[in-house]
Order: sequence, then C-alpha cells, then structure tokens
Amino acid sequence: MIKKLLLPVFLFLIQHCFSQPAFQLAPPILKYKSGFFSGSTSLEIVFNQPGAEVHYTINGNEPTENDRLYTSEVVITQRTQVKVKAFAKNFLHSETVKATFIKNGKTIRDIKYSKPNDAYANSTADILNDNIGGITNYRSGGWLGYDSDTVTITVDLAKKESINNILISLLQDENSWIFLPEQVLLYYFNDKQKAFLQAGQEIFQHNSPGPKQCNLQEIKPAQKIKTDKLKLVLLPLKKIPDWHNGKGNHGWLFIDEIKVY
Amino acid sequence: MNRKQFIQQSSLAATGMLYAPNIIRGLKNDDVILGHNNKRYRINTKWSQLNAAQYPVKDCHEMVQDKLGRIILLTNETKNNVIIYDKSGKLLSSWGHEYPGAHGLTLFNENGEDFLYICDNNLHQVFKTTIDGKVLMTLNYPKETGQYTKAEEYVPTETIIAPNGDIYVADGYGKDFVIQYDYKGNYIRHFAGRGEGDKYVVNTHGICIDNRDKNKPCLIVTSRVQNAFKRYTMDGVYIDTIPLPGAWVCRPVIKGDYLYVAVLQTNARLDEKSGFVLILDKNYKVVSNIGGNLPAYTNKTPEEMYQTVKVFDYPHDVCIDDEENLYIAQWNSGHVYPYKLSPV
Repeated sequence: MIKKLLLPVFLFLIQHCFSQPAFQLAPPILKYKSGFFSGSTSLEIVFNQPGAEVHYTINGNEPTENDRLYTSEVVITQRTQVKVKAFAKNFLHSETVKATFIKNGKTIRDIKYSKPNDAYANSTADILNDNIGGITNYRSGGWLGYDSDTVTITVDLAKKESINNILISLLQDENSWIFLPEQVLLYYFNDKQKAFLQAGQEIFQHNSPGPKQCNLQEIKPAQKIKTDKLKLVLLPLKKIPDWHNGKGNHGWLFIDEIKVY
Repeated sequence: MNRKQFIQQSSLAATGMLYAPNIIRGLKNDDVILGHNNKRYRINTKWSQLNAAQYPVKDCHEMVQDKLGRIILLTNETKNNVIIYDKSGKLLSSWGHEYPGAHGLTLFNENGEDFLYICDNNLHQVFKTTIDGKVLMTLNYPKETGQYTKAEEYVPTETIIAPNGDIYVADGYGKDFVIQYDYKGNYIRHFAGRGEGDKYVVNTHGICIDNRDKNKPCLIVTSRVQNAFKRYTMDGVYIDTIPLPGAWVCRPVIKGDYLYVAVLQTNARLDEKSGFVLILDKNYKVVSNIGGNLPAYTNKTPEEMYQTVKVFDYPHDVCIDDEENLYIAQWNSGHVYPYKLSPV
C-alpha cells in the first residue's frame, strides 16, 4: 500500500523537480537595407532551424501558425508593419519581431540640425532624409547621437505645403542609455509674423523600461498649417530614471530620419 | 501474476497516463536534441547539484577537466573562486578567495602533475597554482614588451601552455597582445595586438594550441570583436584568419578532431543574450551550432551565424570531458551554474 502511494509522489517529483522547462525559439533575423524607401523595397527573414516555421502578418496582428508562412522575400510597396514569429514542435514560439517600412513623404529640400556628439556624428549630406535608417544598431552609421540638453532641427520643404503629419525616427535602446526625449516641440514658419510659431508638442514618460526598437514618432499639427519651413526642438532625457543602472546620468538621443506628410 | 502485483502494475499505468500528456505535449527540453550533423547533444540544465546560498557563483568563466576526471570551474565569486565537481555535478571541493577578477583557467599536465593557470582581470596578473590552489608563480604586467606603462593597461584573459612549458598569455581586455614566456616566466616575445591588417586582433579573448597536425602545431588566437580566429606559428608569425561571421567567439578548445568554442553573443542581436556554442572540424569548417543556426556556407566562408534557440544567455567557455560530454560556463547569465550536454 505504501508503495502504491509512493509511486505517484515519485513520478510527481521526477516531473516537477528534475524536468527542465521548455526552451524558447530565438526571434528570426530580419534583414533589410532600410526602414525607409521610395518606390518599393523588400524584407528577407533568416531563421535556419530544422523543423521551425516562420509566420508573419502585415495587418498589425500578432502572427499565429495560421498566418502567412515565410518562404521568400516579402516585397513592400506601401507603408507596412511586418510582424514575425518562429514556431517549432518541442519549443516555445519565439517572441514577435517587427519592422516598419516608411514610404517617402513630401519633398524635402534641406534639413539642418544641431551638432551631434562627435562619436555619433555623420558627414553624409541629407543624413536625416536619405532613406537610410530604421535599423536598431546605433553603431550602424545612419544615426546622429546627442547627449546635449536641446536638439534643434529645421526642415525646408521644396515648396509650400499643407502639413498633416511629421514623422521622426528615434532609437530606443535603454541598455545602451539611449532613450526617447523628454519632449518634442513642433514649430512652423509663419510668413505674416515672420516667425516660428508652435504647432504641436509631444511629451514622453520614462517611468518604466521600454523595448529596444526604432520608435517612429508622429506629430500632428494642432491646427491647419501651410508652410515650407518647419522646426523641431527635441529635449533629450536629462536624468536617467532610478530604475535604470545609469540613473542620474544624462540620457542619449538618437535620430536617423524625418518625413513630412 | 498475483493480485498484489496486478494492482501495482495497473496503478503504475494509471499514473503513467496521468503524466503522459505533459510529456507528449513536448514542452520540456529533456527530449530536445541540440546541434547538427555528427555533433548533437541532449542537455541537462540542472547538472550542478550545488546550493547557491552555500556555494554561490557570479560569472562562471571557464572550466577544465583534470587527470582524475574532475570538472574544475573558475568563477569571480571570491567565496569560492574554484569549484571542483565530479562528472555527475556533485561537489568535491572548493577553494580560492583572492581572485576577484578570476577569468582564464587553463590546466597543464607537467611531468604527470596537473597545474592551473589563472588570469585575473582585476589584479592584472596571471597565477600558476597547484591543483588545490597553492600559488607557485605570478606573472605581472609585461614591462619587458615596452608596450605597457602600468599594470592597469594589462587585463589578461587567457593562457595556454606549450608542450615545452612556454606560457602564452592573451591580454584580451588590455592591449590585445599575446605575450610568450618560457616555463619559468622569462619574457620571450609578444605579438598580435591592435593595428591595421590581418595579423592584428581586437579583443584577443582566448588562445589555444592546435597540434592536430603533429608536424605543424600552431596557435589559434581569438579576435572576438572581429568574429574570427587568427592562426600564428608557435613563435608568433601570422598564418591566416578563420572568419566566423556574426559570432563573438570566446576561447577555442580542441578535443580530438574538433574545436569547440562558446559564442558569447551574436551581431544579429547584440546585448540580447544571443549566445550559442559552435563546433569546427579539423579543417575549421563549422559542423554544429548548439542553440544556433544550421551551418551554411557561401563559397568557403560561413554565412552569418545567429542564435535560433534560447538555450544559453552568454556562454563563455566549453569544457569537453573524457566521455565527450560538454560543460558550458556562462557569463552574466543570472548566476547560473554550468550546463552539461551529452552526445547522442
């Protein structure tokens, strides 16, 4: 009788004390030249794990095993967010990885910007409007990095346009001390007053850790504006919050592209 | 069969049924086979039987097996810098409180007796000790090279000892030189280091001697940030480069016909616990990635490598025992004890 009782207990112990939790698949590798394009672009997904399948969506939903199976390059012709996940028997599915592809907006004639930190400067003309960017590696060469208190960017359009939306590509990589700014302020040049007037503002909270990603911030003007000159003022995070191991230090701001719609 | 036996057997079957679904569902890694080709393994993540309160570890940096078959672990936890296990993961002994930057662990059998060489990142020194920790020799920063003005510039990560007793030290977190000494610790020469050109390295984190071709032994030196090994003659003349795209290789370890190396992380996912373990054959061709992608080649160079299964966070060293089992020590991975992998 005692034996009979011990056996289930023994099996329970084997199951719960000696078995190991399942492993999770790593996220597939997304390969693309840039998250910005004119005309069309393509996305390659790399994940060579025998028995695994990669599924993806382009409608913003979390991928499931019923969604599109990746077999060859995904061709992209319009603004698209691709979400990707790997699945395999005997493994927990991977976390979702995503990439966003942004198509050209209104024609920009020139962008001028505050001097970045020397270590993360770039002499490429049109660095903020060259359709190269959207890669989370801050060493990739496409980024401008700032550790100053204020970053000012002026955007000259090719002609006067009605402005619906301004998109700024920012890096969020808190392990590398790169944070979203405290604030982004949008101004437009008013011909009558011959001055920049404020047209929008975004404020960011840093209360808890955020994911590593290219963060596409869109700012819509509060009123209808028509102009050929815009100004953005970004205020980098002055004090890294207490939950981070760099607490109290100045945060970094990384920016790689600006689009106007 | 009598009635008592019958009851016992049927209750076993019932219990088996009860637990079977969990096993069939497969969300357990006991049955998972990792790696590729003829280098495939089952893993035991609970190999170490130590109580963390009693025998804590910080970074588990390197492991070796001694002539008695014992598995020796080096950690930068000064409560027990050296932990000695048997192959089943049972503690045999521990020693060492004076190595806050314990990093490199190399075993050399000298005339039948095992000796250890410990590199300490924080002390900027290399120590030769007996197997139970008595210090026999200390190598300080290599002034003789003319390349160093103070100890802090020298951050040795690895040693290897040649059959003639020559000691090679890799200054992997310092100036990336390899410094060669005779068996008494007299400076002979230095080479590698940083510079423009193939013969230079970046982050010379590990070193080993490849004597698989008995007529042409050579040194294999890690250039981790360049994702490569560089080969040199035993007197420091550059031979060639073995590119391993994407892989932050730590120290090369040769056992039998194969070279094993822990890949700390990959370029595809830097700072995101993206490590795995890589195995090369005699011709330096990748045959298996434990926790990594199925090896693939374009011409003679491996395609970029990356993690596919989150088996490891930041693996730092591989030890291969006399039965071809692997022990994987990890850096910065939540104070985790080593894992053991057994060939299938």
